[in-house]
Amino acid sequence: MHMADALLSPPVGVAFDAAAGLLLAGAARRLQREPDYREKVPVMGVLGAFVFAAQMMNFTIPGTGSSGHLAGGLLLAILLGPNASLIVLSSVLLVQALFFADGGLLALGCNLFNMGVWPALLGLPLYRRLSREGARGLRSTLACLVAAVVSAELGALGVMVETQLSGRADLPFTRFAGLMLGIHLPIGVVEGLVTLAMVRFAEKVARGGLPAPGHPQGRLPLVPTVLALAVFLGCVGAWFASARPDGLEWSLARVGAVLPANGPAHALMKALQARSALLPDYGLPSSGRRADAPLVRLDTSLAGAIGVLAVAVLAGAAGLALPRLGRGARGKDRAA
Amino acid sequence: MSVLAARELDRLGYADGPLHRLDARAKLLVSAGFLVAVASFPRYEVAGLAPFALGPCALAAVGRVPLRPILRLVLAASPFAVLVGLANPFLDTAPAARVAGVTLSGGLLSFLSIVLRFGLCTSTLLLLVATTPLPRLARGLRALGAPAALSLQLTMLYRYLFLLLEEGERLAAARLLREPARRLPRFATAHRMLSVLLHRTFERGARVYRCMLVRGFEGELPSLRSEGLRRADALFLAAGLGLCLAGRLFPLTRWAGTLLARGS
Repeated sequence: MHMADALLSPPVGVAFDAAAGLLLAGAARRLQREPDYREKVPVMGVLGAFVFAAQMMNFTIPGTGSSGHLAGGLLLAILLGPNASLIVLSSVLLVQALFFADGGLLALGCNLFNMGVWPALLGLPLYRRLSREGARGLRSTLACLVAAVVSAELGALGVMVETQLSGRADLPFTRFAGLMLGIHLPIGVVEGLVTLAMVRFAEKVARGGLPAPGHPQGRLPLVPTVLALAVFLGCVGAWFASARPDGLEWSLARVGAVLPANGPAHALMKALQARSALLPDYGLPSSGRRADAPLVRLDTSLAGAIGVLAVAVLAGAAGLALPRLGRGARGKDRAA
Repeated sequence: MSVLAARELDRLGYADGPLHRLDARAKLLVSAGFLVAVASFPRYEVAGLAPFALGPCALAAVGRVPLRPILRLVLAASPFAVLVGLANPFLDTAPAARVAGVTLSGGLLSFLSIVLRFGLCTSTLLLLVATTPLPRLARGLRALGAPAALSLQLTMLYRYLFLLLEEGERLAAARLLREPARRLPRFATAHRMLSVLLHRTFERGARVYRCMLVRGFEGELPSLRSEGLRRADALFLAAGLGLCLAGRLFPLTRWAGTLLARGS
């Protein structure tokens, strides 16, 4: 499920972009230092395209009436290792945003977190630890299922936190959580089964002597990972704190700290903040819009409506007129 | 089918025109500024977002991009954002604005706002790729500081993307010919299809690697094109970011409305 730019507020989007960018830079450095990096380049390219094609291939989920498809984060992590999988998945997300309007540029960090980071960071170690050697037998099936379900549920949690914290849509949290986590349980199971099938098939291909990526070693770089996780946990924390509007002050007061609110520095910061606030009336979702909020006055909203119409007419006229102008100029060029 | 529309966008990217000739970095930065400006509006904003529609319209007009593939792709991608926003009108029923005697609830406004934002953001990104070939965008990203591995991976992915999508479509067509009564394949069938696709993917990857070695691949794709910021690029960058800032800071819609209301 791709987060869209439309559902994000800049602070949330930029925070996740920064965290994902940091992680991506670290992963790229690790990857470029791997001895078989050059060999991996074309395989990464085609596997990215494979994930794309596989996402288009829907199939019916047995037992239910719904359909599903491979998401590919865990498969990439198992076949290519965590660092390469992050690079491949971010390129897939970029192309999806640019060519298919799926996801977005501001939402790139969120999407990478929801779909790529959890499989590489948690899913892969879980799979490696639980399945021990090779992808055979019940044990490895369970390992793959657990890894995929954990990754899918964490991704769903990420979508919820990002949406709630951005405050663009106000879904009631408990119902939204139940729905998202519930839907992602079968999605995770299917993802695990398909991933396992593909991994086993890749091993069969490798045993047959054909080239196939094996089980790469390696892990994500430590410092960027910790920083990225800190951003994620910070967002989760901010969202919990927003449920209690003065949570920080409340806890500080409980500890016994006194917050002096009248000093020159305080006034200066307040003035600075008022001047630089990009979102002066930015409200967190839990505080919501109070029912007694004043109505927007009639004349301003009427002016707004007229303005919207005027802009629409202007845009339409520009859209119709500009190509003609251009064509005229080109015709003149040709004549000259 | 959205793949067809995406392929059309890709083809359009290689056309020539004033917008196509601009530096990829300038276009990327202006798009990013546009997205942040649109996203930074408060949740009930509808009127303030309207002037931003001029951005995609102007890009489409100057870049001669037909609207059909853009609209098709935006519509095809819309369900998630629209579904998430759809709850707003039911949950937030407090009246928030009155336009021409009709009271609009806050939820309706925020839902409209989400839909408008979605259209603006996605169409801008689609227009970016319809006026710039992806390899140039990848080089632009590299010049802006993205890791070399990501830029290279983006180019390689793009090279094989439509090939493998076609391969997948052929498999799907073959499956449909064998069991036309089934709209979607069963799990077992999909498993076989994906296995075949993965096998071909590996084979292709190995073949490509041999060819790249023969041509002297050293870890980075060389390019003959040198990108430099010319005056037109700088002008576009300044104008684009300036307009985004102006649209964010000033209530342009209300000004236009007051002006028209006073004039009439």
